[in-house]
Amino acid sequence: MTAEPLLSLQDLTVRFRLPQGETVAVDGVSLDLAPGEVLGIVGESGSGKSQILFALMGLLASNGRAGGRALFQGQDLLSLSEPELDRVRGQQISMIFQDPMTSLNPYMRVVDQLAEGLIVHKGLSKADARAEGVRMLDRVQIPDAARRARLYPHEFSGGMRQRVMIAMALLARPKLLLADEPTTALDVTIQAQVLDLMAELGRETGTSIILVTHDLGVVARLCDRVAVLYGGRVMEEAFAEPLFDTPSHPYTRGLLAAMPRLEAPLTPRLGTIPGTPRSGGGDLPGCPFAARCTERLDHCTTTRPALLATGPDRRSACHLTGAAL
Amino acid sequence: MTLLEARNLGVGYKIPGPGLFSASRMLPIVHDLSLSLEAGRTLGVVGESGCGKSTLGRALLRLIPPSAGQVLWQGEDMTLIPDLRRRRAEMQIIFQDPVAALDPRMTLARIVSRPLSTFEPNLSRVQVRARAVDALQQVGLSADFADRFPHELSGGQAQRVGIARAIIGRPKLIICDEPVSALDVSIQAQVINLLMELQEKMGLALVFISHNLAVVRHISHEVMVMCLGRVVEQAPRDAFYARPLHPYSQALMDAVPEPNPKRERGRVGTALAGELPSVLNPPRGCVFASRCPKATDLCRQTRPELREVAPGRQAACHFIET
Repeated sequence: MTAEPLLSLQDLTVRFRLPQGETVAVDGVSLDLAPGEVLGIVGESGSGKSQILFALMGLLASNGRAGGRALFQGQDLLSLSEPELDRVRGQQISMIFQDPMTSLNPYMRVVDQLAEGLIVHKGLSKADARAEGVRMLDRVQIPDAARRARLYPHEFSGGMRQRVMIAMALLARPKLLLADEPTTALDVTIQAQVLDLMAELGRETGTSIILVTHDLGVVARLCDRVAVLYGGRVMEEAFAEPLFDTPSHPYTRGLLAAMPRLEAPLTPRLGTIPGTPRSGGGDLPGCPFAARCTERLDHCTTTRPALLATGPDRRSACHLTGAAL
Repeated sequence: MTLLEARNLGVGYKIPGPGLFSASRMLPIVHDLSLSLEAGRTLGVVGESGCGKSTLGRALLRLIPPSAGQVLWQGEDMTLIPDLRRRRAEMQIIFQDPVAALDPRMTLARIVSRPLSTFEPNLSRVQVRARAVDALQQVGLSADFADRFPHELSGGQAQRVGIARAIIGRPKLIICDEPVSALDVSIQAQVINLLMELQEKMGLALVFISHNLAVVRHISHEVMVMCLGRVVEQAPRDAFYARPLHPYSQALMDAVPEPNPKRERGRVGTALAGELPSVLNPPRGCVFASRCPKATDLCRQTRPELREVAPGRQAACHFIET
């Protein structure tokens, strides 16, 4: 990475206190995001992928605690006070969620929800803020935006609601957009529209995007670079094309083999990964994936593989691929 | 042998009328749908939310009464089958949310063996237990799962229990309503493989309802695409995926993101504009006309009939040349 990163996660951890003890959801994740870059964080349930975003936004559940550093333009987000964080959250970093309906206020007209942020954070007048809101709705291809802006969220379809969320997130012209499974609840044709929109807006405004998803197809369509997460740790990180062309980590290879496809030759059975995804892996001495890995070596369960360079701009955390062996 | 057949099936739901005191009216969900399915075969039914695919699945088992047409089970009209309740051993269903489909207060052995109390009421308790353990083992769960409770299961295990319950009565048909949509990728593959293995072993027919075209390709012999309650295309699997003929099928195929950045980069910016029309206010012409890049006035005015467009292939579009 040549340019100064916009965001640099350094040994980020997220722990939750539970009645039965502490659990580690994110376990020492280090990732850089360049300005204008789209980074995909992909993983199954319990991989900790969404908790990374929640930690950055100061939105962890009350029993959760983030450690390490998250440098955004050189400033550690994890050490900011609530008022300081509010200034960053409204203006420089925005977030969109999987379910737009629960993120929108059902009692407020869409235009007023759009305007609210501009009034609070940018000091615009109500009229100007509303006009800006309508412009942004038009920008995200809500047909007949001026009329629709006066409607309530329930009067929008799921795809339109997600576009309203994107409009709202981009109104403040943030430098960084965090998207947590933004298209998972949408039909494929609507998902394609929303992904197109994110790609286009990212390109136009230079906004960097972190896209958290379980869907490797969505990653392939939108992301420049990909980090594959398992048990709270990065298993593999690479640019999208090399990652999909020559996946090196056994987990990445397993995931790709398990995906049914439209265009690859059919096989009698899909590839499988035995067992069930685990949540967190911080309590394990070895690799969190070792229990499910078909290529496991003796020391995989006892010694944790470091995330090491396996080529230019590529890293993998596996004793099989690591340069250390 | 034809196991299941639908002839011009229509299904609707009663909804309140427009005014407070006006009579309720019928909202049609599935229109004039015909299909037939043989033992050992899988019919994949694909479509987006609200296309009527789940309603179809329930109507095929007569869990919802049809408003038009008929469903035949092994040649018999389902409405005329005496003691249909017991015959349901032959036709089962599994659901999308595997955990919600299991009673949290029952052990897995009881959940799985529950259908036997209707289908084979004369079995002894020991026999019932043995059948439950056998069914659990057939879906890859060891005997010690028998005394566990649903909350101890992962999503994938819960779906296996749902499948065990479906196969315990030795069915001929299972309707699978989005059975892998809620599962992680690695688990989804396990469950799809399991269904295919059971199909081969038991000669099961499957109706596999899904929004995921790639999953349907993997498991189906025949594919049916639904849009707003109507079949727009039906074809054998290989022919369909090699060249979908209906513009809606093509649009669906283009919209699916594949784990292949080279393919996907070229597709950014090609999404269809517009949204599907509402079921409450269906268009009078073609169901896809409002979003179809090829639509003309003819499409907006006149609904194209489903017709044979190639040997064994049907599509409902004015512009497919035969």
